[in-house]
Amino acid sequence: MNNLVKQVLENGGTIIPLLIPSKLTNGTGLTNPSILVDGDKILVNLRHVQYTLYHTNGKFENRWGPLSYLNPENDVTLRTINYYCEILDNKVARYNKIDTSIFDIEPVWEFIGLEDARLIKWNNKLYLSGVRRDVKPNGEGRMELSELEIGVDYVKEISRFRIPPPIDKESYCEKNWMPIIDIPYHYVKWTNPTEIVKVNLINQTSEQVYLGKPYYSKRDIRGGSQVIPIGDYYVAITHEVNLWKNKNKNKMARYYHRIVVWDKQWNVVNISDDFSFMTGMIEFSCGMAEYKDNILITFGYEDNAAYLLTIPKEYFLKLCKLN
Amino acid sequence: MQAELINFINNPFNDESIFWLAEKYYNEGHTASALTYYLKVTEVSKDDNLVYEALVKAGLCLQKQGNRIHSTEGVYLQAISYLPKRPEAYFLLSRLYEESKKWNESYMLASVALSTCDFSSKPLKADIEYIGKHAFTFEKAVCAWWMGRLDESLELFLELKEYNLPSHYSNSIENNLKLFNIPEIKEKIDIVLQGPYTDFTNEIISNYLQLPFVNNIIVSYWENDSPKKYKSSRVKFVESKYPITAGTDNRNYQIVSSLAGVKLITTKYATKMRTDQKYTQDSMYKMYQFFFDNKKDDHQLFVGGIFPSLLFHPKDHMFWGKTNDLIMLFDIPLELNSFINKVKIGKDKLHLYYGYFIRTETYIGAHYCANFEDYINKYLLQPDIYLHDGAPKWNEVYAISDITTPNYFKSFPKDGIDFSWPKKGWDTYPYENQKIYYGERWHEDGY
Repeated sequence: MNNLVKQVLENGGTIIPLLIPSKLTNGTGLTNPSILVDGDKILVNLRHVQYTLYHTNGKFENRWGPLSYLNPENDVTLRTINYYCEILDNKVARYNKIDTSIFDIEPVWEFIGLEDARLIKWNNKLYLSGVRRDVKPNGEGRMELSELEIGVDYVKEISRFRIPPPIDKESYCEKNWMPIIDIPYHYVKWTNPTEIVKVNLINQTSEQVYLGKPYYSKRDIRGGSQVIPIGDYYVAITHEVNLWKNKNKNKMARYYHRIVVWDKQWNVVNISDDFSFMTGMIEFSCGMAEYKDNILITFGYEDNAAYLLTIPKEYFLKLCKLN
Repeated sequence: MQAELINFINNPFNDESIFWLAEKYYNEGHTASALTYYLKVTEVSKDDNLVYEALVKAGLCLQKQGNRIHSTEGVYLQAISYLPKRPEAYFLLSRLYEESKKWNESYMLASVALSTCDFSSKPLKADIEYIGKHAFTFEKAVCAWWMGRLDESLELFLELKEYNLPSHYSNSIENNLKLFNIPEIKEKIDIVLQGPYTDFTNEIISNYLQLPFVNNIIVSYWENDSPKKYKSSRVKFVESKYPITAGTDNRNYQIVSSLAGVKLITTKYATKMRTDQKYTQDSMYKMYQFFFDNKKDDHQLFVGGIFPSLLFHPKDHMFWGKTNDLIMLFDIPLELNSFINKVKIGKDKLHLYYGYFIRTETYIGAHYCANFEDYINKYLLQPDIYLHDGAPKWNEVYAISDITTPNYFKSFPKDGIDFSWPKKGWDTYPYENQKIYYGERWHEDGY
């Protein structure tokens, strides 16, 4: 399915762009938002990247190829800043840059900041969980779990846990673990086969608590949104990447998405056909939440734009092949 | 933005739908988002102008984010390559170079665009910060200043000042003009250009017309000239017949056509200059300011230099003064039955015979001084006794000239005053050479 959003709109859904004032971003990308419903509040983490993705499938490539991250020319880093937002009446009603200064060190790798962070509330604590690569000189990536304190006019990171991998302690980059929002400190680390990891903040460890059976898929199915419960099932949006090189040996990429459905015993019971959100080549979702009679999905578009898609729950269940 | 977003989702491969969504993001300053959609336009559109515009806007997106010079440059270059006759991308790249202090690149591109672009191209759909052809002139003006071409820069800024441009341009033009220390305009003057009328004369006219203190330019030329007359209501023409004799060193020509010209002056003060010498605009400003700061309520004329070792001898390239005095300067007898009517001597050898005729400048200078000092007429009646080089009473006259000449001729400074004289192959006035070998002196020397 190419253009899920169009179908959703035709079936009663809505979409809004997620924006904060451009004076805060210097115009560079707002992308890969995550969403969480907390009581009556709709919370969003909006990732601001200090680069602009130049990505074209046409004939006007950038001097560095068809897919280039255009960082400032005097700063080769790819930097992420996260903004905590609250949504009201289909608009960003509040936004605060998340202050991470307590735990930040002088970056030692060029990818800086917490990337593609998902919002979760576990044990009454609000967390962001994403990958950070700026603390090891080789760019090692680890999922981190950061507790947030929400003040009247500030949002601050008040704890940070760099999660060690459960088995391969030397793995280079761990990312896109999908937090299970109603099972505290549990992630779906991998989808094929389904692997669930439990992290322990006290012992600073993680352990594999479930490993399912592999199944056929034509590409690696990688993590995306949080895993949310819907009725007797768990559901998540996943992503797959088709990477290739063009004739000039320049990197090209296309992302695909699916809705993966598990039963409560973590058996995969359904996987949707792959789809794009808005026909883009690079799209990415790291947020999904249930709100009233709707499912809210947030996604980034070409690393440069962010959207909130509202899908009537009934239609979403059809997409999940659950009704 | 909502309407544009929905329209795009429903028509994701429609170039116009994509373009207007990009515009919404662009206008809100979300240039990364805008860039994504502009690039999509270039992928799907068959409309060359829209593809071009999307490329230009993609470049603007990157430029506004700052510090992405090479990427921005690359996008503008792609736009230029795509539709090389359209001017907009040339301008934006020229401006980018200017902002990056690449003055030569910026100037070059503006020049190329002015000579190659089709300025009647169909307008683009959205604002791309291009105000039209004058934008290139502006870039050239700014860059010329930094490249050391101050006269050209001033000329271009003054040209731009005449147009009704958007305030961010007009304010910048005003601010830039302040850098030139342009004097306050006290009153306007006419300029008489005297001599043969050539194409270069039109270049001079164009240059001087831009000076805000110039009222009219009067071109006094010869009957045999066939000029392409400069078209402006501020340029007047007078054609003279050649006198029956040229006079030594063509002095009669100068007298006849200068007088014809100065008689048409309508301002209280004026200057008589030449049709073949172009003073820089900066020089003109300096002379204008100096003249009005130093003129006295008498008959003193201001000149480009004085030769104090000679008799009543100003440099005769130009004269600034009251109109009546300028008329008096040239309303003098022609030289008849002169040296050249008696012997056939080439102009290049005249200097060997200064003992046999009055030097031209002395002829004009002495006649002018005689208007106010009667006794000088005696010298003019017997020049072989008083005025020729080596004349028996030359020293007696010299003592008088030394006192009298400064009362009627005052030199401008040499500092900051320069011209080009293609006829002689001069790009600059050889002040030092003139001082050492010909004894010329200027205001700085007390003259």
